[in-house]
Amino acid sequence: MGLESLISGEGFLTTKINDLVNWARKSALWPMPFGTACCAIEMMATFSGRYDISRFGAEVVRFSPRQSDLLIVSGRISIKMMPVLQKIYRQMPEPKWVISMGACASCGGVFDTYTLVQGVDQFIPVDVYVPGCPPRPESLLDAVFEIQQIIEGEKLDSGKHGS
Amino acid sequence: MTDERPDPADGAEEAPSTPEPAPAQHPVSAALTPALSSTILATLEHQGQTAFVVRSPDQRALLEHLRFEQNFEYLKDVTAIDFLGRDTVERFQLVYVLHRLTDHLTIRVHAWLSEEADEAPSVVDLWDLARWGERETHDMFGIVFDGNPDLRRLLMPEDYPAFPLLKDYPLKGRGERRQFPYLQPRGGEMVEGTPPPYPVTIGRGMHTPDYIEEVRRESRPKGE
Amino acid sequence: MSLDPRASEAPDVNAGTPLPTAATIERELDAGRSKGHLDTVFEVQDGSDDQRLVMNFGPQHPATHGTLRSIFTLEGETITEADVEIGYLHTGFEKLAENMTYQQWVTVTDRMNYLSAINNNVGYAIAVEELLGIEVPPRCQALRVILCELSRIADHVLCVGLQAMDLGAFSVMLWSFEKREVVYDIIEAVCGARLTTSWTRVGGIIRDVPPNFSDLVWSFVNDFPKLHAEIHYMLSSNRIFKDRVQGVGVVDRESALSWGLSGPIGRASGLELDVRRDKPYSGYDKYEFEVPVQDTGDSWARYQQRMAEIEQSISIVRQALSTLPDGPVVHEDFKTSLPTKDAVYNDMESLIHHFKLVMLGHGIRPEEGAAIYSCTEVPCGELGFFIQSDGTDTPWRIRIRPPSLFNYAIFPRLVEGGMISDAVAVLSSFHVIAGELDR
Repeated sequence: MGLESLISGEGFLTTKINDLVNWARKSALWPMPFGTACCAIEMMATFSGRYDISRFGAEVVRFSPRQSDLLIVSGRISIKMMPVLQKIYRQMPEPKWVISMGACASCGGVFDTYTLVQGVDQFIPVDVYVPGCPPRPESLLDAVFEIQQIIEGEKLDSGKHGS
Repeated sequence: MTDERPDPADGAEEAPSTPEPAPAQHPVSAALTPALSSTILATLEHQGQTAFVVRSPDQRALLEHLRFEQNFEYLKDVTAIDFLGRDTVERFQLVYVLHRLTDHLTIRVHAWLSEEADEAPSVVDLWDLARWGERETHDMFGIVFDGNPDLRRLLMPEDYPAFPLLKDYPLKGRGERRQFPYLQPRGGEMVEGTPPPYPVTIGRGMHTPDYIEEVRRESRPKGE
Repeated sequence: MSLDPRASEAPDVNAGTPLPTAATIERELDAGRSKGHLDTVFEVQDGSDDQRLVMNFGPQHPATHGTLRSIFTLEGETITEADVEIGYLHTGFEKLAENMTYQQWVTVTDRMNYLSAINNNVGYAIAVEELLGIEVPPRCQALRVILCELSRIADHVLCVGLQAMDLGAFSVMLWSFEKREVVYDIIEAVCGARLTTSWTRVGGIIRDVPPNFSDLVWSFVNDFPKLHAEIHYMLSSNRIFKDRVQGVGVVDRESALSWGLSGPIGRASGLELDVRRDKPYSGYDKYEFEVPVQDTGDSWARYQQRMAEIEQSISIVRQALSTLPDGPVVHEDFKTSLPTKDAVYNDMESLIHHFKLVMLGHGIRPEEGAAIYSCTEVPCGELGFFIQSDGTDTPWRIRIRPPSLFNYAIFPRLVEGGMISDAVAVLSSFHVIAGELDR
C-alpha cells in the first residue's frame, strides 16, 4: 500500500520517479549494525574517522531496527542468537537490504561447530556478502556501493519490497 | 596416561612418569593433615606446577582445608575433562586451580568423578567464582554440583538436548544448528519460504542443483 | 567424483533431523526458540498490584558491548532484581581444540578477545611452550612484549572511549579509534592483518619485524601521550562524567578476591594481582614498571586504573624498544618449533623438520598425560590456558580461563538497587568482551 502501488508501467514519468526514489534510497541508507564479534570492530572502524562511511550517505547509524533500512550482520551467529536476528529482521520496515559481513555470517567461516549457524542466508535473505575474516573497512564500503548499485537497478513495481 | 593409575592406598607419592623425583616434599603436602594426605592418590609435577589427584567427593575436604588453613583464597578456575575411551581411573576429572597471594603459588586439585556418580560437591561457599565455574562445567559436561544454588545452563540454550564437550558428541552437532525457519518477505509480510534443498555444510553448499546442471551441460562433448 | 551433494561419502551430520515444517512465521517464531524471556516487556504475573516491570536489556543493544543480555525487574526506574544471560556468541573453541593441532589452534585464539588479539596469541604460545618446556630467544620475547603492550594500550584506550560513549561523550571514542588505526598500521606491518593476527607460533613468531618497525613504534609512542592528555582533559575533571561514574558499581576487595576478579577491574578494587609482576613471563622481569592499584572499586576507579595502566604500558614499550636485542626469533630446536622460511629453503635439516611438523602430520607431541595451567595478563585480566595432552599432535583438552567471564559474574549483584542508567555506567566500565566470555 505504499508508493509502489501508485506507480506501474514503463512510462517516462514513471521511470523518472523510479530514478528519483532509488537515488533517495541509496544516498541515505540508514545502517543497523547487528555486530556480534570481531567483524563488529571493523564495522566500528568503518564508521569512524579514517574510513568514514558517512561520506557515502550511510551516516545515521540507528540501533533501532524500526528506523533503519540496511541490516549489517557482522560476526558469528550462534543458535542462541539466530531467533534474535530473525526478530530484528522482522521488525525492520520495508524497503530493507541485508549485508552479510565476514566469513562467519556468510558461511560459518572458520567455525564449523555445533553452535554456529553456517551462514545467515539459510534463514534470512541476504543481498551482499562481504568476504574476509574480518573484512577490511574498504571491503565493507565496497559492499555498501554494491547495495547502492542494487538499489539503482530496482524497479518500484517489482514487488520486491512489499505491497 | 601412565601417571593417572597409581595405587590409591598410598599418599603423596610421586607419579612414575616424571623424569626426576623431587627431593623434598611439596610445602603444601607437608602441611596437610594425615587424614587428608591419605585421600590423595597422586601428586603430579610438571614444569614446576603441582597437582593433587583425589577421588570425588574427597576434594571437598581438601579444598576446605586449602582455603582456610593454607590460605588459598583465590580460585582461578573450575573445569572438567572427559576421558572417554582412555583407560583411566574414572571417566571425568574435575580440575580446580587455586592460588595463594602471599607467595604467588598456584596449585591444582584434580578429582576423579565416575560416570555413574550422581553429583559432585559444590564449592560455592568457599569461593564465589565457583558459581559460574560450576554452571559452565554442568552446561558442557552434564555434571551436577550438589549445593550450587543456581545450576542452570550458562552458554547453551536452555532446551539444548546435549552436553557439548562430551567426547561422544560430534563437533558439528546433530542438526540443532539448522532448526530455524527461512524468512522470505513477500507482499509486505513475512512468509515461510522453502529452505535450501541441500544439506548445507562447508564446501557442499555451493553445489546447488542449478550449478550442477550447468557444470554437466558444459562438460558434455560439443556437438552432442 | 560425483557433484551431487547427496551422493557424497562424507556422513551427513544433519541426517535424522527433520527440516522445519511449513508453519506460519508468527506462530513458529513467537513460540520461542529459546525459552525464557526473549519477548520484551510483560507484567510481573504474581497478582500483585505494584508497578514492577520485567525488561530485557540486550542482547542486541548499543550499550551492551557485544551480545550480553540482562533481564531487569524494574520498579519505576530502580532495578530490584537483575539476571544475566550469556552464550549468544558461544562458538565451541574448546571443542575445536580437540580436532585441531597445537599450531592450528592459534588462529582460534585471536577470535576470543578480538580487541587485542596479540595478547591472546602470546598467551597461548606461552602455554604450549611451558607444556613442552622450551624457551624462546630474547629477541622474540622482547618483540612479544612490545606488541602485547601496544595491543594493551589500544584495548584500554578503546575501553575508555566506549565507556565515555555510553555516557554521552562520543568524541572520545572517535579519537581513540583514530589512535587504534595507528596501532593497526604497526600490527599490519608486522603480521599482515589488522585484527585477527595469528602472530605467534609455538616456539616463536611467524617472522621477524620489518626494518621500519622501530621508527613506527617510536613515532607512535612519542605521539600517544598527547591523546592521553586530551582524554584526561575531557573526562577527568568533567562534572557530568564524574557524577555518573563515582560511587557506582562498587566492588570491595573481599568480593573481588572471592569472585575471582582480575586485571584492571580487580586492581581498581584493591586486589593487587598482576601476572606480569608476580609470575613474569616473556622477559617482563627485565623491565621496570609499577602496578597501579585503586582502593574505591567504583566505575571511576576502573577508569582511573585504565588510564594509569596506559602510562605504564608506554613506559614498558620504551624500555623494550631501546633494549631490543638482535638474534633469532624462533626457538632453535626445530623438532618442536617451525623453522623460519629462509632456513626451510636453504637448509636440509630445517626442511626435514618442517616437513615432519607440518606435512607428515607428526606435529608437536608433548608428553603423554602432561597438563599445565599457564596464565598471562591480557587487558581484561588474567587469561589462563589449561592444556591436557595425550601424547598426540592434537590436545586432549584445552580449557580457556576467560577473564571476562569471571569479571562479569558479579555484575547482577552490582546493579541491584541502582537505576538503569547506573547499569549502563557499570557495564561500560567492566569492558566485557563477548567473544572471550562465550568462547
